[in-house]
Amino acid sequence: MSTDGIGKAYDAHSGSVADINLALVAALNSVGLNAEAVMVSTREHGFVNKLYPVINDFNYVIAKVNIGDESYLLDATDPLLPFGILPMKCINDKGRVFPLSKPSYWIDLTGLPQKEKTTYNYELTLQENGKFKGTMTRYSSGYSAYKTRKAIKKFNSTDEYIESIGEKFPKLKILKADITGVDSLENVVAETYQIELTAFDGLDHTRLSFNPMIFNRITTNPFKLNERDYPVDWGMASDERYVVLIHVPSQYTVESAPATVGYALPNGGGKYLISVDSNSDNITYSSVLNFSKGIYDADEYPYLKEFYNKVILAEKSDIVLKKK
Amino acid sequence: MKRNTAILLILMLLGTTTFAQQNYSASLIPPELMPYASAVVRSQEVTIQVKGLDEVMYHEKKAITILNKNGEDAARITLFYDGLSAVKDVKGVCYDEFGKPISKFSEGKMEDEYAYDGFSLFLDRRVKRYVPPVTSYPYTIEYEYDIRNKQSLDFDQWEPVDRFGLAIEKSSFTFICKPDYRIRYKEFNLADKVIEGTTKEGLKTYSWHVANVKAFRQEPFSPELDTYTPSVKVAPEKFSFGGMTGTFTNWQQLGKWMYDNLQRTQTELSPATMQLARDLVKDIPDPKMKAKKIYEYMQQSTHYVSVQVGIGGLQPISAGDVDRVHYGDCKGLANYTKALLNAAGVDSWYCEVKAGQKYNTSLLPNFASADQSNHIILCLPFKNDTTWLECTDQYCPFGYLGDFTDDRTVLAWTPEGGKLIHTPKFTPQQSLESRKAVFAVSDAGELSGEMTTSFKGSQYDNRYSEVTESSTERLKQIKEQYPINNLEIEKLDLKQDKSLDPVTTEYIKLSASEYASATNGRISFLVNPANRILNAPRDIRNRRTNVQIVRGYTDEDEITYTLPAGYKLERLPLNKHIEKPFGRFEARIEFKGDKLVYKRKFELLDGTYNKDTYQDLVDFYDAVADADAYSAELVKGN
Repeated sequence: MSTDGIGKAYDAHSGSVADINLALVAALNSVGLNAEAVMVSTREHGFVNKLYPVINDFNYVIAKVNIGDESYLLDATDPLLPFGILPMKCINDKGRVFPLSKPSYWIDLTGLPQKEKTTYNYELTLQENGKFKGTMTRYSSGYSAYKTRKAIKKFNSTDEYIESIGEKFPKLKILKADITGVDSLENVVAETYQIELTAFDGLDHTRLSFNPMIFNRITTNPFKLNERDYPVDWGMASDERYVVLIHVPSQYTVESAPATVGYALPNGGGKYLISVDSNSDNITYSSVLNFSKGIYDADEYPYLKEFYNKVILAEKSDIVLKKK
Repeated sequence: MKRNTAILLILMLLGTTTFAQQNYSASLIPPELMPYASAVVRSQEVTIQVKGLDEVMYHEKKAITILNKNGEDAARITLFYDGLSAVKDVKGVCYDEFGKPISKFSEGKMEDEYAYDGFSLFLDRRVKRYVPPVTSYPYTIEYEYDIRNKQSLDFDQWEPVDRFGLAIEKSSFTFICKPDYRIRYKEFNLADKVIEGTTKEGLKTYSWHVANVKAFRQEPFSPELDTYTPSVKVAPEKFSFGGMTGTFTNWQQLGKWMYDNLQRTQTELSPATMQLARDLVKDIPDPKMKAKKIYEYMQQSTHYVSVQVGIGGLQPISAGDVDRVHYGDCKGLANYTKALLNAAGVDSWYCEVKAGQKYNTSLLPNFASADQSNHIILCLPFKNDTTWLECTDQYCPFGYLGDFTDDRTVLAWTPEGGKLIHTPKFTPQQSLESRKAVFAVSDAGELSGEMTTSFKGSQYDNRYSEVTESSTERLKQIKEQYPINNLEIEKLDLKQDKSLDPVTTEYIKLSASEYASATNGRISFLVNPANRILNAPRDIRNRRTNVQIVRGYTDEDEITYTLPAGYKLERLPLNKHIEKPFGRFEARIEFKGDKLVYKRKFELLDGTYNKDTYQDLVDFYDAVADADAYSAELVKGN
């Protein structure tokens, strides 16, 4: 897997994945840390055979550093990856660890502590022209932050990234944007957008109804089969939260709103919660969608499918405003 | 830790001697070239020199800076070669962001492999590849190489902007030949026309150049990239190809040469096969029906396998060989079918076409050259009833050309010479998907009933992959087609009527629990369960290209719902009607007694529209998406 050897790679400032990560292992060891090389097979490349050693089963090398009782898995090939976070392609079944002085052993690559975490905050005012105006903030942390950074870096400038977001939704106009935390990998990436959102044709209606899940509503179930033979492998746990605060125009009152609901997967596998709070001027809608595991067995599949059904049904409900 | 390493490496690099001739620091790229660019060609020089009819030298020297991950493909070097060409003298250098050299490479470092295209059984083309092993951006790669061609029938086109997101600082193309060597050339989208000159050795030169070309970004509904970017095509008058020589200045002459030298010689069949063909049609008087019989025989007895061999990929393998092995590529199968038809007494023309689903590209009517097509089909020149055959598809109805080859100008190779002919086009009205469903919605929100959909015209093939699948896989795929949660298909029947006006018909008996949300005497559900447009195409600020709708079509949906007794509609009924130059949309519901009838008609009209139309198109799709998201809100009333 190593092509030119780590010395050459280090000198040339470039090399294969193995060159780079073996250089990392060597560097960590040379400063007195306990580091080991781990051979893995990427998702595309399939599972490794655990009974017989087959070198071609592996196609990637990462580093493992042990500090006290903790160990961290590292991949130095992508400068956007924070310490201790592996790219999705490496999170696949098991890897084989090669310590310098002891026999090699397997390590489980599922159930790593890394997680996708995203929080959306909206604060919107419904204006006389029938448009919502306000702020939309997205906080991404953990693996989500890595994904956001990667998406931003695909563009030459943050402005082009922001433009691409605005272009995705014809009803959305981004008036101003501010993105922080892109450069320091340990931080949360916070994207704040001042937005205007076309919703209604003026405000002269007896009833106004809209869905509070403005951009991220789930409308179709990803699971269509009745049974499944293979596990559902999302790689890592995830957590998505929404808080939407709407300022209601004075001539309207909230007639109906989505019901407060709560669903959970068996054995703490995940949860979905909606809570709604309204008074004469404001309505606050918040939801949490949480999957606590990266992999769900085939026998958990029916629960997962039904869980999605419930989420979809719950997200169908609109907020309805009525003219006073 | 990582930062220290980086500093150390920079210090080490400063110690090495630089051998850069030119400064490739990324900071020297003119700022006006940066918007939407993911790679910038710093300089490019392409030279083609015709030393003799069987010796054409192609030389390219190029330096390109890759700005971000999206530009990575532009850094890959892929050089194809085959029996008629050879790659020589590849060398290159990679530079970092500051223009300092970091590594060198030459031919030996390139991977050399069969140019496996993912589907061919065998091909004699090979490829040399190099992917720079650089992971941090920006970086620059500078390289040059020679390709020696033993043929002069087609010359590589100069096309500096060959992808989206690529800006050009400067690029030039020089064509060198003896003073008496005659060429024809065609310029596309060039501000500066050709400059003719003479070298000090007395050779004739033609040169073109561009500078400071901004990157184009991908815009939805845009015409094909090469219709609005600069390029030059050069064609010979006299040429040599695979040991044969020829002359052409127009399609008539090129088609004649191709027919005489590449196709005519390949049509021989064994006497037994010729007899078989005659026997197949002996009781059929009508030539068209004869052709149908032969075509269906060919479909049953052969299959498509890409075998890209033969002179320069242009000559079909002989009909006799296809007859023996029962497979062939598009050239082989078309040629074989032509030979069988000939034995049965039906005349046909072998036609080259630029195939592709996304664009219907025609051969250039006023500029003949041998590099404009990639596929072969057959034309049956019946009087007033020209019929076309796609010979590589075992499922294709006789006489049907789908969206792979429809509505474009092709070249027929005939004994009288080349003829340009246009393949048939389906009108938006002919390309019809028509759906009728009768559903019931229960008190508990369950949807159940029957739905029949027919597909015609260019939509005939909408269920192509399902038709060719096994029944379990077919069921899975049909479920994916419909955005209905908890969809259970009790019965699925997929039929294809392969008559001269072919129709695919899909019948589904289905149910879906919780399709409607039903609580406290209220029922609400999406009235369009089967054919929703979910999103409008994205906004494009400062659009640069015209709007092109390559293929128009019509979708019609009519669904009758039977509802539990005693409900009334709480929301205004859906009633939307939009009329635009490029399309029409109508959707409405009528509610009477316990019956709710939903009708939808969506029509998209092909054509090229001014770029200012784009906002209108986005708004149109957005309004359609809104109407498609209409949910009927019903409440149990007194």
